Amino acid sequence: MPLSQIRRGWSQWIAFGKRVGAMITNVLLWVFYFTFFAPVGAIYSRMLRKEHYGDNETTYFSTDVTSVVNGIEGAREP
Amino acid sequence: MTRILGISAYYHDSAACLLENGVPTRMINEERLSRVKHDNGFPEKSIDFCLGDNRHVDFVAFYEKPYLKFERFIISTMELWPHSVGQFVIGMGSYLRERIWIKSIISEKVGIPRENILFIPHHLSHAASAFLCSPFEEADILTIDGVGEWATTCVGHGIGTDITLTKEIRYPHSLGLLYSVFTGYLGFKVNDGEYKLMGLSPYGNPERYRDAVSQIVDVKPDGSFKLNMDYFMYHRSTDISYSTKFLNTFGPPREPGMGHTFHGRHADIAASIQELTEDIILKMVGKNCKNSNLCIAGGVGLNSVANYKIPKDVFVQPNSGDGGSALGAALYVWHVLLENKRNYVMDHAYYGREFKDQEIDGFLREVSATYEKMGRDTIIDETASLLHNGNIVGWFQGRSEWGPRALGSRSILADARREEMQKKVNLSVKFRESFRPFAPSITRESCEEYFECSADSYPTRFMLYVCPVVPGHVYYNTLPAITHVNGTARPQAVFEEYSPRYYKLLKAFEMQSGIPCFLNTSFNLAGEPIVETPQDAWNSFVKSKMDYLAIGNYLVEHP
Repeated sequence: MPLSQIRRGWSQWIAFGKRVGAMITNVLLWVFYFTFFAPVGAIYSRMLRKEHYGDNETTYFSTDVTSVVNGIEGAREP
Repeated sequence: MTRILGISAYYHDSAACLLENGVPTRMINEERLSRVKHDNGFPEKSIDFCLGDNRHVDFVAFYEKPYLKFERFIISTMELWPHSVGQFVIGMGSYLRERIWIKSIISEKVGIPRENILFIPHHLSHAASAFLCSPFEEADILTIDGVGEWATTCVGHGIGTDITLTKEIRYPHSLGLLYSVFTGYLGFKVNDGEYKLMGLSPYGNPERYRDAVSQIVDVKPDGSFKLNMDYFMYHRSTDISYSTKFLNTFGPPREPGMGHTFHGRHADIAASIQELTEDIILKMVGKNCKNSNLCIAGGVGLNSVANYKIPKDVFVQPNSGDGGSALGAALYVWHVLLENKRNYVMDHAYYGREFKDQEIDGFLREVSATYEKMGRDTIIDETASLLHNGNIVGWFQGRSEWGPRALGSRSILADARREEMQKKVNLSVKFRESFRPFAPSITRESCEEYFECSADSYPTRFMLYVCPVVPGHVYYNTLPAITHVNGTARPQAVFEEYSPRYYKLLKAFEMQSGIPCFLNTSFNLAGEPIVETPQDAWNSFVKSKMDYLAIGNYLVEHP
């Protein structure tokens, strides 16, 4: 069998593998979303939310600023 | 020499910039090179342009903290479970494919050790992109955009090389996103047509929808605000940004298929939103900014109508949106993290590519264009004559501009005294909505004679103020092509020292017409990025009804 045909065969298998991989990832994401997010997420995020939006009486500004860098070491963290 | 590469990517308007010992030498938005409007991919082409043949870089500065943004994505989709399911699946796909691997991607593509890649928070990058290239030693800072990691609006202060952000408003409450929601609702493209909404607003009356708008946003006296999320969907849907409740309040949206047709209702809504935006910004400045100097950054910094109304000495750099944050991140690393003194002020915006006559000549031969090579001054005089005689000329000279404004390097020019030019350039050259106004370029010396703004203020230099044309002036009615329906214009004051060739053209035009001012609009067709290369200029030139193209020292006739 010519080398070019073997290569073409392999690349088809790789493309197929990628498609299957993407499908599995997608399914896992859905499972994760519905099982984890429902019980944990909704409660946790609603509790967290209260801390972030000023006092709501006089201002919606929060002084708990998230845009900070702790030196060059801090900047290395993505 | 220390070389720092700044990068912004993966939201909208990817860009790269190169800082050499703290001074930017090359900066460009990816869309100019990829020809994809608001390209948000990894800016490979921009990086290649910035680095040129010397691939050595000491640091790479990325314009946000991707993990923090990922955290915001996870928490906000959690909060909206199960409505956010579509957003979660699409968003996770994007994060898993590229965005959380950004360190590896940069390391591989730029060829730099991972420890030399630094991440600067989004709004800090914005703040640095304005303050650290402003002429101010001390200033207050305001950054307002769609959303960064968590913050959507920040207030802060800068002294020397020190920047501190003191307050913030967090996602999903966002002035930038609110403006974008209405942009989409009025049939314009989100993250692209916001300035169209701004241009439409003077046609409307803000009173009609003032009450409706006050239902969807609660504004405190200090300018901080909270959106009533019952009216919005952008935090839970990737397809639609407003809810049924929103439609019940404002009526059906203007469909993009309505072409160039606008009703009074659309203009009234645009006027209300513009009024609200100005109200928020002015309150925020009034209560939070005590210094006489103010630096503004973020996409909302391009709202030139609001900028003009701020009673401060304002600095906005020409690429105030996300693209400009590439510069901000790099400047932050150089000045704040590496503790170097200030040594740069952004006096002009010419940091893109330049083409030599030889390259232009070769290209024009290749496409069999009809052209004439002229002397450096002759082409200026000839172009001035052509404009004076009512021709529309494509002007392609020198290094391209940094940011979304054409400032005399990649511009389409026409005589502002001719009323028909506004419609002609809109409909036959740029193929865009007929209501949209055009901006004028004017010599610095004459700017204040025609327009009510300081010629020396930086926003005037970068076309970021919309101000009244001097009322009662002898030329008030003689510049109809650039005077908007409410008697305002968005002038660009041209300085001889920074744009000598463009300045000479204005002076040559003045010699013939008596007015040192003409219409200047970006050299692109509707929906396309501004041209960068002779090939791009040629493509736009032949597709439109421009009469001539002045490219380098070559004058090209329309085929």
